[in-house]
Amino acid sequence: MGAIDRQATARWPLGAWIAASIALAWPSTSRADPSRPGLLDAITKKARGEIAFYGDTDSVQVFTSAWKATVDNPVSGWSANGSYLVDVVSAASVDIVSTASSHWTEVRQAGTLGANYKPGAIGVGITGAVSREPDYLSLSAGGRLSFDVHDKTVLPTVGYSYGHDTAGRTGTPFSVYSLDLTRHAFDLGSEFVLDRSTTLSLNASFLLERGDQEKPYRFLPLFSPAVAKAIEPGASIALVNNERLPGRIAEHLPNRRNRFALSGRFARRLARATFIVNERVYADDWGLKASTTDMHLVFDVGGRLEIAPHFRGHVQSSVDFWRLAYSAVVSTDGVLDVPLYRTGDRELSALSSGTLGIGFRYRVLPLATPWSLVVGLRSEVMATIFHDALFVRDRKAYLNAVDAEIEF
Amino acid sequence: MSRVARTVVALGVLLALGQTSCVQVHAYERGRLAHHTMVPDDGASPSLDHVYAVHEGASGGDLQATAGCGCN
Repeated sequence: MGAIDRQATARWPLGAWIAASIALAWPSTSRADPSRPGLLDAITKKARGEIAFYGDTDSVQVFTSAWKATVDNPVSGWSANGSYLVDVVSAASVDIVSTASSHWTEVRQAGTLGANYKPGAIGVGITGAVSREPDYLSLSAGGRLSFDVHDKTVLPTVGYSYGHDTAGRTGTPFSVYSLDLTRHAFDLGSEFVLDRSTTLSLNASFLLERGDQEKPYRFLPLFSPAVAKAIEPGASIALVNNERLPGRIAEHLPNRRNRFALSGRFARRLARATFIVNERVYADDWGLKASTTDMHLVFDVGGRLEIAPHFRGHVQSSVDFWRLAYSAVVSTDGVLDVPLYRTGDRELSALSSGTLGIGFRYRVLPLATPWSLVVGLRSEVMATIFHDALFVRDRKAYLNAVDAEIEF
Repeated sequence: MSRVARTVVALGVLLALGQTSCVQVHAYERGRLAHHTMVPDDGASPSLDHVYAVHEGASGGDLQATAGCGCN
């Protein structure tokens, strides 16, 4: 985090703006059209809230509160939704400690607005999103076309979104210092209804990123070539500080990144259970390759309770320019010779991670009632092994979340 | 043929194969398909999704805007 104290100043106009937008978009009975009786009866309104706590062995804690509202009219084919999320992050991770910076707390707020209209075999959807931290602003907007073909057994979609991120330093206006990043995301996929109980979804995504992705607070230790070779994964802060050259160097990443992912989702509904498996393979031109497998089993227990164990596994290679210890040489004329691209982002190194979790979902009101109220509880434990990183060899984390959803 | 062209052709073949493997399912037979667990992203946890996005360097590549990492 550098030496800058990042005590957050929570601001709420974003939340107020989103709440007002949702309220304006929310249909009321006063808008009923008497010439179209029964149309508004088909409107369903859904609201969902979630509160979650995250903690890990790297001294990072996150409190998250997320809210989402949706109105949907399946008869005329339109729907609208909005969401608001606030994260409170408290961190004293090894990366912060190693640079002699102080513990920091930060608030992130994010919101989305979306609308969909699908009166027949072709539908269109739009979405917009904003996320703001004291030193980071991200804006994005996108659209998606969806189709029903082959008697609604093949459901292709194609989409595009544009995003722009601005990263800065806390307390410094973007006009004085900022890093800009633009993102173009293309998405092509389809869901296939294989039989009356089974679906398969295939999706291809391209993400083109252009601009600065360096973290302004991230500075890396440098070593002489001989010492760099001797540094081992998990080397302690004390050892690194003892062996490194004086000073630190800022992270520097390529200004172009092309990312590609193929994903599939297989879901089969049995009499009293659902089996869902997702597989995603990923590659980018920074050299990172990854595979992610995510499985859920949802069991019906009685008429109201669902229990859903969950497993996720993720493996990835490092980016091409990743080095456990970057070496530097000072030439005879005093010029520092260091690798052009260098990063201290541990998530760009080779790693393996696994997640085990269980979720509970309980329908509070019986099916016969016009309202639906569902409460949920989720608990996940995660372990990550870093194969080639300084300071830590592994990270263990947990996430506990409670949520409630009401529909009427 | 460029890599992008090969990818597009492969996706087209996959879509065609997928279409031929689908069987007709009448509306009255879609009860199980309509179950909430069969809907992608139903009940997805925004906080858990964000944890994955921060923990895994391969995140991204989709249209969902989860802007800002809250961790830089």
